[in-house]
Amino acid sequence: MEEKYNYDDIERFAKGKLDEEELADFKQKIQQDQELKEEADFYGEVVDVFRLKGMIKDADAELDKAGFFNTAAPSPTKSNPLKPLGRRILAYAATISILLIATAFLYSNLTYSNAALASLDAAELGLDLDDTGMRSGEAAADAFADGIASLSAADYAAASRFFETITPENEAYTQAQLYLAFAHYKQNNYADAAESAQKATPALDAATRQKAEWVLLNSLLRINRVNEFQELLAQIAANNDHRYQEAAKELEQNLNSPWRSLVF
Amino acid sequence: MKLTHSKKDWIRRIRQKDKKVVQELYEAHYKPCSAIILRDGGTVEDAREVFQEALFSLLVKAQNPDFSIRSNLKGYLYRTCFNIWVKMKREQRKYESTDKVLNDLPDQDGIPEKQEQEERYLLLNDCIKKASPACQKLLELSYYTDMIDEKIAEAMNYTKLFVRNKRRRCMKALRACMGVVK
Repeated sequence: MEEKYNYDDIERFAKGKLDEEELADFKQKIQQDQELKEEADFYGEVVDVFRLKGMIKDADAELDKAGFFNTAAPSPTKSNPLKPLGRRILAYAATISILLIATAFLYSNLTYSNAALASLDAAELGLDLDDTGMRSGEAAADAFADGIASLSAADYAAASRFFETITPENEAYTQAQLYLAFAHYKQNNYADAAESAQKATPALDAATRQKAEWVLLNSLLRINRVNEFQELLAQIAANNDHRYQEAAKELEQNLNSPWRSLVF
Repeated sequence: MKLTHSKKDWIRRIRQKDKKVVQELYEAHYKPCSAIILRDGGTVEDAREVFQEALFSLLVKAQNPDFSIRSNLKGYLYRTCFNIWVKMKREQRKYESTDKVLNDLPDQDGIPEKQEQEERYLLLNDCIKKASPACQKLLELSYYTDMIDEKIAEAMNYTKLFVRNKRRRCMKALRACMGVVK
């Protein structure tokens, strides 16, 4: 059966193998014949597709020959890129870092916390805790002596009870309040310590007054009454006659230390 | 390995059927595409087949004179590989489709949507794959390798006349597959 068209020409057209004259002639024909144009277009597409596929197939074959597909395959699981030695060094470095950080935290909290900075002892306060054991029979005086004896024995609760019995009318009242403040402080009752210390600050003698201020200052630090604390601290640090001026300045310095940032 | 030429050069070389550029595309983009298949239980052969299909899709797009690529060729190939692999697995009935990876990829790769010609090329490629092995080989020798009929006859153990007639029949079958029967 004879074909309607010359498929040799169509194929040569699709492959781009017609010479100039043949091409001009063929183009004229396809302009005049829609069906021929469709056939020519179709053959052109088939040739194009095979050429594209062929390029890919050739590239694939070349790369296969070069072992590309063996090396290009990714491993199923990602292995740790660090060698064992590197991992060990990293582990040691991490451990040392943690230890250093922990030490820093420990140091700062032991040395620069409010508790560390605001520690009081009887010697620092110059409190006379020597109990003669003698009682005069006078209630307030005996209570004071018993309070001293209790402080000396570190029985701060008992000491508090004795000192609380001494009323404001008694001349030893402000001093008793100082000792009471100390007793409260040692029982970690810082709010009560501050209150008692406050009552001791009107004392006539400078020593009692200044000791009471020092107990008050430390108590305020412990209970975080910041404004009152800072005001009193500045006052003491500025007073050249204050027995605790140097201690106040040192406290100021410690409070401004960078180690305070690690305190929790 | 990065493509050694600019995108414009690359497109021009594709249209000129420069074979080297295809190799460069393999070297630049095969590995991430193959990773999708290999990590999903596919073989190296599966990965190669999928990548070939993805490349074909890209090369077809590049034939369009209006084609220009603004960005993210890697993203396009990656997404195309995924789609082809999902389709393959679905056809093998081994796989429930998950689009979550697709959702992670940008919708716009800077590559235009399919044109009519591109649709035809992709359909034609499907029809070629469905054709008999003899037709596929004959047409490849005729239109890609560009062998003369005498050589094709020798290679396929046909007569020269048979080669011509067989080729004509194969092309008719492709036309029918494309939905244009004459």
